[in-house]
Amino acid sequence: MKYALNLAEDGRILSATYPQYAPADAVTVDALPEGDISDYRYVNGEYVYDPLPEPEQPAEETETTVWDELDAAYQEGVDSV
Amino acid sequence: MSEYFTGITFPQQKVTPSDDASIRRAMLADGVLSGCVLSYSGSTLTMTAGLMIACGREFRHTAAQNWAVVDANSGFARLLLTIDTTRTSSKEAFDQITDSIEYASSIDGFPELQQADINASGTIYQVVVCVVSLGAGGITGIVSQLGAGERFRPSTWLPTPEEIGAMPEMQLLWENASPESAFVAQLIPLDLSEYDIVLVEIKFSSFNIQRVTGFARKGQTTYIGTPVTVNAFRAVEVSDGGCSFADGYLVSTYTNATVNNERAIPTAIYGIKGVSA
Repeated sequence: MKYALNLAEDGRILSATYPQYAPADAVTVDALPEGDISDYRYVNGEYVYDPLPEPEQPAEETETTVWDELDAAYQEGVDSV
Repeated sequence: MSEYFTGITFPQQKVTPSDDASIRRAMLADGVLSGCVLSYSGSTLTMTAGLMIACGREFRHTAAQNWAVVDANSGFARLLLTIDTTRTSSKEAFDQITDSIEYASSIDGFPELQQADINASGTIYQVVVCVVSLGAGGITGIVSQLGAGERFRPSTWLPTPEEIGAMPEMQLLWENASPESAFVAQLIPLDLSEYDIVLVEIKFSSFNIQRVTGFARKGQTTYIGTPVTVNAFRAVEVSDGGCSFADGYLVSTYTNATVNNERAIPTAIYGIKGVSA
């Protein structure tokens, strides 16, 4: 199976699709790198492992927090998020 | 050879009237094929010569005929044809169709029609040629009649493309070959010039399998989000040149959204044409 890469200017792999969905001049490869492809750049026909920084994790990510905030918003008369 | 199948429309096989009518009934509703024009004057109802079909059986009205509708001066009357396949039908005589005038005080007051399948085991099939309204001077109008319009199309007949108009067409234009990966802001180059609107599918995250879809119009920023307790969203702008995705965002609290490209992963883009966007 072949894949078509959508690359940033520095070779960072932005995404991959299949050749039939890609522009004619897209870079095509026979295999994708293991794991998260956005951790790689494609340089001179080779994958270079260059992971992006981990995304910032919000302090709180709980169901209770979200719904509490929504409840508070509704009570204040805010009807959209 | 199978004893359970008999050819009908095959060489040297017999096609009976009921065989033939079975096909015609599947294609044609009861109605007038030609002629059979109705008119009235005073208490006289008239129908010209013509051809009709009922339950797939074709028959001829050989000449103009008058009916005296004189047994009521209010309410309604109907001209009823009754096909009775037990009556005579031979080379010399045909007596399987009889006509009659029935009366009712209201439009829904007539007896229920007998419409057994005379192409199978039934013997009686009735069809109403017309219903007329009555007054002191006789017939005051033709309320309904067999005629043009639906007679060639049973209710189950599919509409033609001309009747429908252009059908919307949806086509898969892009598919994410690595949906378990993070998805940073980027343009997915696509020729969308011939599409009216796109449908974008996203995964909740790179590590979830649940997906959600959203329509995106050209020239507008559309936010597609995940309707779960841990909310994420991503904006997309659609143009003739493709779909430009912004970073994904994770919403942990009502007022707190942070960039997180492991969330709201685009997985597929469909183009839709033939719709008014």
